[in-house]
Amino acid sequence: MKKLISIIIVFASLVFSQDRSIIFSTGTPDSTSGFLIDSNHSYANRFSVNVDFVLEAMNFFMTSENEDNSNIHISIREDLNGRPGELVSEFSQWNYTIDYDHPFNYNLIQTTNLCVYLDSGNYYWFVVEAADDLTDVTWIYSNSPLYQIASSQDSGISWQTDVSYAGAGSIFGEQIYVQEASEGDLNSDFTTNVVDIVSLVSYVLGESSFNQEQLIIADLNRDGLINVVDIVAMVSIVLSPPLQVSDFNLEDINPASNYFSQEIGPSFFSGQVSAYYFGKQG
Amino acid sequence: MGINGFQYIEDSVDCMICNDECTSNTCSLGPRVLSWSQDYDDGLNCLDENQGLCEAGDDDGDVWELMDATLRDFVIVDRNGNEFARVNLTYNNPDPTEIGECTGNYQKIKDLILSARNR
Repeated sequence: MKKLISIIIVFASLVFSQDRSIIFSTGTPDSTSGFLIDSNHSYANRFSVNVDFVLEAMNFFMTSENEDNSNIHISIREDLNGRPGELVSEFSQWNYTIDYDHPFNYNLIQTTNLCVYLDSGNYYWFVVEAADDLTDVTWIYSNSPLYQIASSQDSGISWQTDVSYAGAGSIFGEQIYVQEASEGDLNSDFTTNVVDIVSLVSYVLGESSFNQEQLIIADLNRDGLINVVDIVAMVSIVLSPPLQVSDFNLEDINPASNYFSQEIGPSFFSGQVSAYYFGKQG
Repeated sequence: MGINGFQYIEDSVDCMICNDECTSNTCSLGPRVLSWSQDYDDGLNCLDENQGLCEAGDDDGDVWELMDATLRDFVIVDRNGNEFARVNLTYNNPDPTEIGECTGNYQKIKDLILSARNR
């Protein structure tokens, strides 16, 4: 039976990790002991993000000690001086019921359409609190003791921090794509060209103004001044050869394609914008 | 165009191109019309100007090697054959529904393709 449960949990993990980035994970716990959460005692795991994410799902390993099931509040909170602070957004708190007879202790909340944003470079807290006086749950310990956690004995009014076992679980997110700005791209069209040169010349001649972001971009030599030296630098950028892709030819094997059975590749599509997806069948 | 990985050479392409045997739920929209190719490790694309950039018989697809691609890379090339942008679609899911409405990734990638016309 244990093997079956493990397989189901692994399968569930695979399903919910497909196309998602794992922001935080303790892995599947080996034990069944953990933090006891009731109307006085709350616990939280700290995690950080290194790129911008939208929260997508959370799983946590928890069991109810109460035969009438247990209601909890789950929330994602900002970090306030190393402790759980305000909610990340009005949508980052969930009511959840832990079933007494839950067979796997595996619980999942999906948050796909709530637009809970987690900003790059910040710490956050995954907080579990009792929802009422009857709540009595065990948040099963992680296998490793090296997590930053917080505990509260006064219903989340004050928090004490520690490096210890975390409450087991994972947090998943969808990464927000950010295209790195092209150096000197004043009009944010992802390329630096003669339009940007004209814009910079106009600014240097005093004929136009820049916003704060453009002022930073225009100062190409980072000397705090925007002048003819930056114009020269921008001309150099525009004239420098871009990264040419290697040419190749492969047969188009899609019968529904306009180019079916032809040898296609970058030179075939010369003169057009083309895109290449490196994937697999199915 | 889609370029199948050499490591998937033995897999069926039915569900990628949505022919009659396809069981993908998106195949109900009809066959996929974008070009799809199979990468090989035969060295045919490693000749002439690509000499030394890829190699036959090394268990890596030649074109994947040439383009230094990883699985689900999406490379946009401008009309002059220059790489304009590269987005990995595993980490930057372009699905426009549900969470895609929050990330905006679908629109951003569309904007990139349109911007490539300006270079």
